[in-house]
Amino acid sequence: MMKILFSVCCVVALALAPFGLLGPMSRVFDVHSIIFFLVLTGSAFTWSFEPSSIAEAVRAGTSTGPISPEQGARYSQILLRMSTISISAGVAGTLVGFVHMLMRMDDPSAIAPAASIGLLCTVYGVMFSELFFRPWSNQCLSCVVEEKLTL
Amino acid sequence: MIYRLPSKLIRAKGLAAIPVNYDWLRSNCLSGGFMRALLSFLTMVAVTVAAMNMGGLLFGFIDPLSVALLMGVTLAGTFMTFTFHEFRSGIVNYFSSGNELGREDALLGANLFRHMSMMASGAGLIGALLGQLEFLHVLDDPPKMGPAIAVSFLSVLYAVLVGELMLGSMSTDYLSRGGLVGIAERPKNYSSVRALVGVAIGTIAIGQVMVVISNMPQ
Repeated sequence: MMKILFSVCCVVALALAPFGLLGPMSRVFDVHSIIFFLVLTGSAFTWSFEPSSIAEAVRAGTSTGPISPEQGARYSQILLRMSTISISAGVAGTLVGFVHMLMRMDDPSAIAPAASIGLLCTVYGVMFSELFFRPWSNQCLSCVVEEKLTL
Repeated sequence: MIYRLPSKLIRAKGLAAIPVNYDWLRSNCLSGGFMRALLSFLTMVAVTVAAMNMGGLLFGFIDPLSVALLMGVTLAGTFMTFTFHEFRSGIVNYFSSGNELGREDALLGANLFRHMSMMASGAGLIGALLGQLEFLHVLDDPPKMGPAIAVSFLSVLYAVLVGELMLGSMSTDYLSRGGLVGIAERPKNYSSVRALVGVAIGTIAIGQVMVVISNMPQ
């Protein structure tokens, strides 16, 4: 557990460092993008799976306790689907931001915020997917592969 | 964990006095079949419409050409692969069944909706390319550039929202209702090299978009 917490902290710090170097950290956090991204991903999660199975999968991905190969395959597929959903939600937010930007082409001062809000959604999507859900899915899958090797 | 939370809350806050059937809510909205999907769908539509309507610009997001392309490609591709009977039973099973669903029905529905989701994603790609092509043809005529760009962006947006988030979620919902998650298709192993290549391609694409925006005449 501590190992995973440490690696998560390191990865988040490394991922956020470029933003800190380029400008104030507050630019990474935009309320509209965060609300849009979280609600869209949350509704897609609850549409795809029962909330209890999502909680079980996240718990299995973040802990190193033993799980059976069937559970591993199940949790791994749930987390893989969650990573796909978060990338898709990020892309959707980006496209909404771009279309807003194209519609406000006559007002140059409004272009930059709209574009940055749009791009932020993709940042969140890729971060959640590649830093959390995919490694957790891989963690769940590793027990399946080990089990197959030992059998 | 999630299951025990509402009953604790109910006892702690004295919510039991409110005449709501909490057992029904828990079995239908948290674990059950269609009601959970309906609530998620409504939430998704609400947040999408709210985001599109941020500057009062909702009607700019309606593009009949992209809608026609999406529906046409999806339905045509589906009927090429599945018979009409299978299509109808897949749709009807989704709306009528409760928590329990036979494995055969669940597998058929999951396959159907996954196929539809893939077809919708393909329609988005086709729309994006057609829009770019039209954009290149009308490059010297600025008033015609807007609709071409709109087709290219909006068809991708529809493909992501409808294809990936809605139809894909319906396919996975079939899997989880039939108890087939992790059984119907084994997840493939994940290579970090592929992720690095993906991140690199994404970075290059975002950089290109930023260059195009910064060079655009005001």
